[in-house]
Amino acid sequence: MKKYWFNLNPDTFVWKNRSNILLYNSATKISIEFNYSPELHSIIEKLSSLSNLYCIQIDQTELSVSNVKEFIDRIIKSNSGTLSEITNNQQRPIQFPPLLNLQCDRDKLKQDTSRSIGEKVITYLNHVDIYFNHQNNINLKKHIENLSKFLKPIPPNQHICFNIILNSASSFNGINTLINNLKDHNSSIILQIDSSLLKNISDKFNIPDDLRIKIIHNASRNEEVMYKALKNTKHIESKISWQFNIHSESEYYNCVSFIEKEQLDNTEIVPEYNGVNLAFFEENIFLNKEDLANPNLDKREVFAHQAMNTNNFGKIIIQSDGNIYSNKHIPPLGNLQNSLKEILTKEMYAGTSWFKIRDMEPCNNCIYQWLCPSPSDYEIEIGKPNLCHVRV
Amino acid sequence: MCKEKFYQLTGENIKSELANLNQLTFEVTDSCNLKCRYCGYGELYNDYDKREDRDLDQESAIKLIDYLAELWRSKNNKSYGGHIYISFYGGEPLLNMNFIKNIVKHIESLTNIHNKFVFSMTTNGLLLDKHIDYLTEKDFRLLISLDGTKANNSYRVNHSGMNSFDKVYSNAKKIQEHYPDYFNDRINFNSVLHNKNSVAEIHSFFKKEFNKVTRVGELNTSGIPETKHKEFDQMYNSKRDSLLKAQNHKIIEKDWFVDNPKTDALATYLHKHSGNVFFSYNELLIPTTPIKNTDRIPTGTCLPFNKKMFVTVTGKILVCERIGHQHAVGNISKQGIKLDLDKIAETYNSYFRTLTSQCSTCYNLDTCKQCIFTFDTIDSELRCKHFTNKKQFESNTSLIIDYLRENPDLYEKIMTKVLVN
Repeated sequence: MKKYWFNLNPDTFVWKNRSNILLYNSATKISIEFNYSPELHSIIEKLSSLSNLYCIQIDQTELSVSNVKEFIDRIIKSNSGTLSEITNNQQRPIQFPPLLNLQCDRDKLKQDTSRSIGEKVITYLNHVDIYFNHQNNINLKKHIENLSKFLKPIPPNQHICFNIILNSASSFNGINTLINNLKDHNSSIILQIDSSLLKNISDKFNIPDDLRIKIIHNASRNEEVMYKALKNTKHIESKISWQFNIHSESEYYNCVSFIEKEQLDNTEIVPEYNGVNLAFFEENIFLNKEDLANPNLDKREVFAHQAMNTNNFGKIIIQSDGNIYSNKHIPPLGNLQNSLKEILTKEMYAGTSWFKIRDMEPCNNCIYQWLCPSPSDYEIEIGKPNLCHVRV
Repeated sequence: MCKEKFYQLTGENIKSELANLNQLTFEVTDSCNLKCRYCGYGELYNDYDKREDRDLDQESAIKLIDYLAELWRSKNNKSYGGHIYISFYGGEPLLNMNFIKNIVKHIESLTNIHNKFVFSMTTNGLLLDKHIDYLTEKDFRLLISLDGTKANNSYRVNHSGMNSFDKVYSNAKKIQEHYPDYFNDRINFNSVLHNKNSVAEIHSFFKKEFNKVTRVGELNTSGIPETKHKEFDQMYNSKRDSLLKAQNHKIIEKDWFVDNPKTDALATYLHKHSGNVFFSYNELLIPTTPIKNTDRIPTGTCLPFNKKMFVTVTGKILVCERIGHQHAVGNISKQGIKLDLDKIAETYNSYFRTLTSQCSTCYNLDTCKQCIFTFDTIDSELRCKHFTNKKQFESNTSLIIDYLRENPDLYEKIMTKVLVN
């Protein structure tokens, strides 16, 4: 009887649950799905066993089973595996199954008594949101001093995106001092301003050449605010980008119409959950099976979903009261009196934001678990662990 | 393969390494209460400073710590709670306990440093009974040198030629009895392999007596004068050959894991070629382009001070205790620290230039472990004995893959357990 080596390609991931099997080839970015039938059980178990190194033996009898034949044919056709007849002198053609080895893995570092989870922790920082909502200049001046001291340990060559968010008109005062301090770093600085605060932007402070300004417009507001904001920033339009926060389809179309009419270049439309627009999210934002099965992710990106939250990793938020968060929905890690490296190490330990991954129910029973984007703030705001239409 | 240029080190690179130093090792004294026949500072070698029963000057050592402390406090230090090992080496370090105690006291007095200091020592174990209370109090990690049974240990002799085994064994047993947790967690043994012992004997002795798997090292092959080659060759025993001769080599291989040269070669190969190993979260988050020669230095030499700083008893600063003293890159004295970082960078770059053309066409560059300081001379005539062409690389790869085929369980174990940093 003829015998064969059946190999999976090393870029191919295999995931299974009680009813389905998913193979995702991260090189070709093609996924193929099968029902979990008893005939496939043994093959899948053997392929999933790492000690088989993605190479199992199959004989002609097994290949004559239609389910098995279809399984193997589809895998070969999608370039995710090969079948080769075993000849006398042929060695077992082993592969390296995609298994992440992350050298600085926090769980490994926690267990290794000769290492520390805080090793090179500063290098992980990539984004800082800084909120301003000050009503008097004394508080603002002190806050800027504290901020500058807190951010001082950032190495000069490390690239950071500083996002300064102004929530009150009086906060314009003193912003130049902070921007000048931040420019010591290899950073990009974005000033994020609500569209309603834009009345006298150029009177309030000098806009440095390399500063970019993002206008946040809540699309549920009167359109007049949008046009006034546009008028007030016409003279600096090359520095401006727009973010439209929408809550419904009609707001979406209004924004698209405004963007087209005014020929705006740097724009972003961001859905915002307001507590009553779940239906809008379910209709337009929730992912369906087709979205999840075609994620266009390479091997690194799949590994990243398994190891970290790719939305939140490296980000901190500094509120105007000095409290510091890794995510606005969870308790603070500390405040400006703590050291920056201490704050980052706390998040490395806690992992509530940077390491929030899809390892909880129902996602941990889903074959798309690691193809799905990392959990976002929407899940927290909506109060649902998964934003998809897939039934597990 | 493209013969492109390699990365040129700068003083700033070295400053960054010093600010993130993992280990500072002091050669506390060059005195030793043993006279091991294969000692790296003995008759078999000639690449070290003459031994004159000197102690390292404490004042200079403290100046060095203060110099480094400034860097550890600086923006260049990237860690919070990262470990810095303060290590004591000899000679026999326990012969200069005053130095050790004062350095420990000084380290403990440092403020505003976000690293954790860990003390460690390599000792021949003869004086451990006198100092063990202090060492346990300061939670020292100890590496005790012992070559196995009394017969195995016969090159480790005192100045009268007497085998040191009985005293060291008795001291180790006392610690095991009186400080069992400390013994389990903080004490390791180091054995040198030679013609009086074997991998099997060493493994069996330490398993039976102490329930430990010891580290086995080979004799250092560099720094041997021509006149001593014959004597060295008689004494030398290869770890790989000795392992093959062991009847229970499968058990030893399992216990050794990556200390087994074959498993180590497999782990190195997987780390570089499996496509599944990432060093940091940033590498996972941000796509990186394949590494180019212009991004790295040639050979397998560590960046200066990437692993450690070693200070000899005469105050010479070296990047490692395993390299010849002629390669000192600076020195410490009562007057202060002499460490010209730009000059060190230029010295390294000039050494690397001698190998640029070989390294840029070597197929083993990704997995090279060859330290440039282990070559007998570094000049334009230098030929790397580990240079690997395509055919040799394919043949080596084939051996590694065969080994994995025979030991398929190693894949998961290496991928989930091995940290190389």
